Amino acid sequence: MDPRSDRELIRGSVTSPTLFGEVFDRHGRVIFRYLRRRVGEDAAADITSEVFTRAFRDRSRLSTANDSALPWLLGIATNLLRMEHRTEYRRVRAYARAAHQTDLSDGVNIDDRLDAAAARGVLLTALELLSVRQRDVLLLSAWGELSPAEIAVALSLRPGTVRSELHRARARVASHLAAQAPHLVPDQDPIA
Amino acid sequence: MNSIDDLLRRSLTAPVRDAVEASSLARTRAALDLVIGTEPAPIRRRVWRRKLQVGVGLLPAAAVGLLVVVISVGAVLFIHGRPRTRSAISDPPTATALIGRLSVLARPQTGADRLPDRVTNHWAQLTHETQAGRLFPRLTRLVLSQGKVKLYLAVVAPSTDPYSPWTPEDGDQVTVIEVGPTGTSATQAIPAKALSDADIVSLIAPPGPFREAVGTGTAFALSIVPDSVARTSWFYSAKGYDTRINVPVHNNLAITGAGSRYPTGKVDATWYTDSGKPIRTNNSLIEEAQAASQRRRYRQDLQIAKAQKHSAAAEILKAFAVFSFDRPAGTRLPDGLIISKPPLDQLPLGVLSFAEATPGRRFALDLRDVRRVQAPSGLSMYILPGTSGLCVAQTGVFEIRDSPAQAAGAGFGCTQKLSSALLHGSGIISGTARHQTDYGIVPRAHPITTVSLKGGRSRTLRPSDGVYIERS
Repeated sequence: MDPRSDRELIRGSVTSPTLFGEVFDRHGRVIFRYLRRRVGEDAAADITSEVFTRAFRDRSRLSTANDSALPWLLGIATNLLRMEHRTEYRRVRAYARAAHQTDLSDGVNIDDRLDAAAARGVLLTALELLSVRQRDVLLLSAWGELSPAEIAVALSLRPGTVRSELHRARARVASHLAAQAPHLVPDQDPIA
Repeated sequence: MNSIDDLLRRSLTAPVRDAVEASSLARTRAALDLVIGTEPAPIRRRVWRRKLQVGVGLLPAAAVGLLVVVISVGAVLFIHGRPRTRSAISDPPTATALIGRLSVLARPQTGADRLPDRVTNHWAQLTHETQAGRLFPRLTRLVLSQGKVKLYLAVVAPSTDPYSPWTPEDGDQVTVIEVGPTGTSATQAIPAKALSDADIVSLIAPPGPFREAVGTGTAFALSIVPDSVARTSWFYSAKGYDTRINVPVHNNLAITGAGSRYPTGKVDATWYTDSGKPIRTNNSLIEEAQAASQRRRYRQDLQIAKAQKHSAAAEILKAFAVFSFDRPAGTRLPDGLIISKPPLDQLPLGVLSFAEATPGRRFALDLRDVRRVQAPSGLSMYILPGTSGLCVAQTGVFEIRDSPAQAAGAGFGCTQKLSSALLHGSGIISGTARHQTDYGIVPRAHPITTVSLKGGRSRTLRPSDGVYIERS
């Protein structure tokens, strides 16, 4: 593993392009999994490729202060997803169709999994109610595991805007859950 | 972790399939390696294979009245062949490696197992499609007889076709040959090592469009499987539906008649033993082989392109505004198009292959002066100036119609005469039954063009800087 930070690797890759491969090795899986959740396996593989191709071509213009390239890469992925909204819509519908099916084979807490399965349909509807920006912010937080500051980098938004959009998105989802499936509303403060 | 985030994470997910994920990541990494222009580590030597469900029907751009030669992807592949020199083969696996894994080949050959003479005698004509080498007449076995159709398993010598994913070093190969009243066809041949890849599923039908044979009892989806396999399960998407079927095995062949929902794209297959236990397979072998094959061709085409001496006609470069854009990183036009001048080593394989002379094209192209035009929609085209004309190319990795095979290539339209090029430019139309995209270039002197849209409509364009990518 190269001890250099992503930023150093990317800067170095301007003159030594092969260094960029290490950036993929570090973040390819996270990007793929994030995209896979949003658009499915096939499209995810496609978009992951495009993310890194674009990132490589734009590497000389990277101006993030972050040492990690993940927010930047997830930002590219999210932008590309907007071109794939139809695929994502189909994916969302596919989830909805599968909402009544529950795979209990994972061996984790069955009550949790039943709750999760029951929540799918309601959550999907809730996600569809969000604006594109709210959905991006929420999913970058939930699935991309980015902090609000990192989401701000990813989406080129102000951190304050991200926090308020995240707050609104979670509140909207929680409110939809409360109306449609009150037993699924998490015990703790959903907005926190 | 916020509780709503946690609920989203737990609820809207699906089990991670390690093999699929690893395969996707390896392909993506290999695609990136190609972009970077480096030699990837051996284990990552794969090339991107897009699963574009695009029927690439390239039609002449008659509406713009151009002399356009449109050659389909398949044709590009077909004409691309050239002699390759290979290093000496050191003990490649012979037919015994196949016989050891396919017991149907080990049983004595009977008269019924022999291919009809008309097939044996005309085998060479089939090999363009099957990328198979010489037939071994004693190593053919009848594996299915249904109505007037007979299927044979046959061992062939390795192909030297540069478009074959396999190399002579992979050794002898096995193919399935269908002999019917209307002709003979065969699947793409595979070597012994590919008998560990469960995802290699082929379609076979009498010569002609596959879809016309569907439902007639002469079209099949099949997979050659080694002795330990008693049953296979296929999962694939067809006509927008996810489909899972169990396919029985007989004579080392997992085979099913092709109904209306036959697999047209990638099949995710699992092999099972007699006792129902899944068999460990390596389902990325074909992709690795295709990637390696593409890398070989890429290196060779890059060499050819670098060695070229000719230049594009000065009149062409002057007549089209697009050639005044020289920035490799690209220049964004007011309408959102980005025009760039990619260096040779950043051209995709589909464009690099234009470095070679091709039958029917009477002028050479100058790949050092290629321009790439990218639309905000993500669509892009390449403009290739030549010594007397110019070409417009749309590149990608395409699924070949009626075949599970995929290949990198380019659909292109060329205006061959200098006078026509200077007057009309060039263009292509690419599309499916539902969408059509017009790609084209018009000269500064005649900047207006009319493109025909779906449904018989037409639209007059005055594209800024002479290039357009119009989707309808």
